Amino acid sequence: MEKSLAVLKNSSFIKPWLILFGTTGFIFLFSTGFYWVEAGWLTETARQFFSTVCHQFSWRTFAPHDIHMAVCSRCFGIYSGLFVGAVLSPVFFMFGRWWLNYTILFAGIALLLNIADFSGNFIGLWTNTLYSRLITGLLLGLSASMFIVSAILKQIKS
Amino acid sequence: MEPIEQKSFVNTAVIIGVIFGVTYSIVNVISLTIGVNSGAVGVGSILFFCFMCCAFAILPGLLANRFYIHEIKTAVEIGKGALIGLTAGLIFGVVFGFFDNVVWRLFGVDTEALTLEYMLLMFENLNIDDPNMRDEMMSSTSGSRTFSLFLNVLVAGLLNVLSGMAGAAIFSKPYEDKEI
Repeated sequence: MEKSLAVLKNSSFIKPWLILFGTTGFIFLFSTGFYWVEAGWLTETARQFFSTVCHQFSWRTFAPHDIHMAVCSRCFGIYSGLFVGAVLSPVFFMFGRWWLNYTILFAGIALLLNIADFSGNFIGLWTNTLYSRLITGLLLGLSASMFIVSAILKQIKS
Repeated sequence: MEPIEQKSFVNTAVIIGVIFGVTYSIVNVISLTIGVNSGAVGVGSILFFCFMCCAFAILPGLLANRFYIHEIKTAVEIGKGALIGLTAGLIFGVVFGFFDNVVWRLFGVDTEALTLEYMLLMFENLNIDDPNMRDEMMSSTSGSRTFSLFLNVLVAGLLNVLSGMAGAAIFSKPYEDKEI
């Protein structure tokens, strides 16, 4: 644990991690569409922000407080997963290092899950839901973030 | 300091950003035009656009890192990878926006109207009937173009920060000691 803490306190880790944390945090915040603020212009700005990377269809988007988020449920899962992964990866690292070598595998499995969820719905095997898309997206974002953090950690020569 | 360390990533990032911006714009307009003119908008084109939208948005950061790392033949720090991705992403966003809003208009192509027409045709062909759909689509294309363009450039830059970090991690592997 102390050895892990020393690695996490290293500036070679902190700088790129802060970039990851800041970027994913910013994207995550915008992806919510600021529904809790209930300011129309802010939600509209957030929607315009993602207009080129997400279809933003209302029937595929969460609408807490009857305000649609800025992105669809799968995109929201991915962006929140990226942020959660950036926050949790250092915590995971403090409790063990075994996962560092499997992050690319996790990301591959998560990607396949997303493809399966999308394809199964598309060819009529099942109907995916807002929550199935959220969870598969969340896993993809989480694994992608963990992959980046593991790469940062691997670059630190102890 | 060795000369190889002084090699700037800007050229690589800019070239990749420009290539992707131009390519995405051309592929986008050609695909939309084919879809709208043929009237055969359906499953294939949905899959195509799902891939194209996401892949083109994150590929500049990934590939800029790939080409830069293979050029200098040295592992790149993840933080620098983010910077390379950011540069490539911003250039990509600017070039794509310029083509979408300026260049195509010189040829009389309104990409926004074309996209809207394409989407409505797609829902018609897929028998998705929603009375509010047209209104929702119309409202999504309204608003200030300049501000929208600025936001699109920003999101392209930010997404490519992440893909740049991932790219640096993936493509640096052959050049670094993997042990912690």
